[in-house]
Amino acid sequence: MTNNNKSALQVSGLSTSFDIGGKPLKAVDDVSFVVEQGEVLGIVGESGSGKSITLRSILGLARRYGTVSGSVKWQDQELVTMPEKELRKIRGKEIAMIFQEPMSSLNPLLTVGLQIGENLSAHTDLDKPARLARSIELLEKVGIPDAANRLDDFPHQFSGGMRQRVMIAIALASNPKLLLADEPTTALDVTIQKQILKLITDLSSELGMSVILVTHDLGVAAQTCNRLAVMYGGKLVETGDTKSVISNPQHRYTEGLLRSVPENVEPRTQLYSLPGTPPSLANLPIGCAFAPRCAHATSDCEAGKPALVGEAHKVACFNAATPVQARPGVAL
Amino acid sequence: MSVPILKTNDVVLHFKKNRSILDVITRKPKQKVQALNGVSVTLQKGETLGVVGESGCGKSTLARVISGLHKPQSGTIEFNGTSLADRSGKSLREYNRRVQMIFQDPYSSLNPRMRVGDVLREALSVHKMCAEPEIPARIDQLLDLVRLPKDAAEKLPHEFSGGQRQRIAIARALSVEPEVLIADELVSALDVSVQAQVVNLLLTLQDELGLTVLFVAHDLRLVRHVSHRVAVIYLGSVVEIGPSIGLFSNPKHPYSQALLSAAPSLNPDDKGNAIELAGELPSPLDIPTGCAFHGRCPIATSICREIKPELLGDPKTGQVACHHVDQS
Repeated sequence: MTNNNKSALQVSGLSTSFDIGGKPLKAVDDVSFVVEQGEVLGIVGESGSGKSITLRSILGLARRYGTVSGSVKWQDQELVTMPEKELRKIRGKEIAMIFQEPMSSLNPLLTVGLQIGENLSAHTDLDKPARLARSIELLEKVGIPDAANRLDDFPHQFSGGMRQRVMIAIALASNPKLLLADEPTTALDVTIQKQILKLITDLSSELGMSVILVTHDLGVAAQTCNRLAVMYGGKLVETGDTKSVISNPQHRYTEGLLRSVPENVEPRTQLYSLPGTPPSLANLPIGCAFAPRCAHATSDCEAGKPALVGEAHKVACFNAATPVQARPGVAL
Repeated sequence: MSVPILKTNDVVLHFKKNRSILDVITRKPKQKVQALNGVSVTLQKGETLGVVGESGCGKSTLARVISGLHKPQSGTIEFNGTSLADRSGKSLREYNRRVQMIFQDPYSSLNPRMRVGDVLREALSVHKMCAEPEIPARIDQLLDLVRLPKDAAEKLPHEFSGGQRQRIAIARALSVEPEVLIADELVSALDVSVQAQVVNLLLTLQDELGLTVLFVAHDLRLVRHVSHRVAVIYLGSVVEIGPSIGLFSNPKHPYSQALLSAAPSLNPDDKGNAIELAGELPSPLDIPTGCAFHGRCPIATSICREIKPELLGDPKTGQVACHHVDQS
């Protein structure tokens, strides 16, 4: 992390809703956070919590299909209202994105070299030989052996982990300052996952690149991110330093989620489990979205939505766990 | 040790791959996917055997072979002392009833047009588990067993969440009173907060009904939590098998060590002991000679490239297939 603490990205009051059969579906509801330069921010949540849509809204990929409001400030430029033509200069250049499915996010009909070169010709002034050299350099950087000979290969000739590396290489082609990674390792095995995550964190510290990593795996988040933001029902429920959130969760949802992970528990004992299932975004309660599953819910929780409050470690809960000192060790 | 309830002996399964026109013209030999290359595991009554490995290592194939969905090319599967290949007619039906499989994806393993009650009724009447008039009562009982409300019987699968559907799948498997459950990635498709509910249910039911479980999963924390013993599979061969606690705290095979250290811990300070594996799983179309792991192994020597190590050691404390692990 850098010392000058200049926020690279400021998201405030971001809301995205889609029109599903005449009914509005609020996928992202009043989400605010900042990403500092060189920082890895993790957005954690279960499926349908709105974390992927948050990423897509930042990059203007959601506004074609839904209504995006609020503000996304990228180096003093407002992205939400920016015309598509100008946004295109930032998207893929300063802000790049890696998608979840390496199997389907590459064009199967184009060679890998062409797909990397495409980004280079769109966003840099390099000539053809320089683009070729840069492509090889990028593939080597992401750890593809024999890179020079693989440029003419098609995506199907690569394995899943290699394809995800190619995706990262494409994303890195224009030296982005912010990388949006949407579940970059979910489809991969743990050994490959470790390689990819290490690659992303290394690049972040090497190039001073900021990263937003969306994941549902708390272990991945704990290992990779500097700060965490926990999402539930389209809202951020808790944000803070990774260590602080993991060892001292304030929101009852975060607490439950952490406790349900079978780590450091006696084998074959009953795991802690949150009752019920995550809510449907089309049918959110008026109050706190987590209230129906929360053991500590009161009438306040059903009446209104709690705001995200706090200093470094913020929480949106009327009955947050009392701010205790960090528990002995990381008792999880 | 008592007689194992289920046992596989040196099971080999290779899938033939069709050649493309180009391959035929260039006279390339037919390729085969070597999914299982001599897997021997035993399941004692009432225990849970966890099976872990990377995708493509053959763990799901093993589950499917045991449940009779694939016929192995060689090797036998013995259930209560009788080989599966020798069974036919009534005896095979008996096997199919007593060894039940639960599939990975609760969204596609239930017929979307059948009501939950009918799903269960079909299983009950096909295997003549109880007399026709008793079926509705038995359905209620089963739904109660997996903690679903009674009115669930009248609903269609789409009306349920993923976790509830997986419970329906469990109820269907349990309806025929099996002795062995084959759970292939039982909770992988579920959200973290729902996973724990289904795992708890499995543990409770196992204790109540004395079930034997083969638990195939890629989530190592989960496997450690539910299993008595664990088998680590690499490219269709068991490389290490032993009691869960010992294997997780002190894995011996270099692959097990790397696999276990790659599992992301919740503790941000615990970055793992960072055994990094170079490269990726080789293709099962072209398995390396000798020890299949030698290309990625940090301690491989020339013997590893030539001779495939055998699984050696005391089954009670753990067996390892590696030339460089001291067996004594």
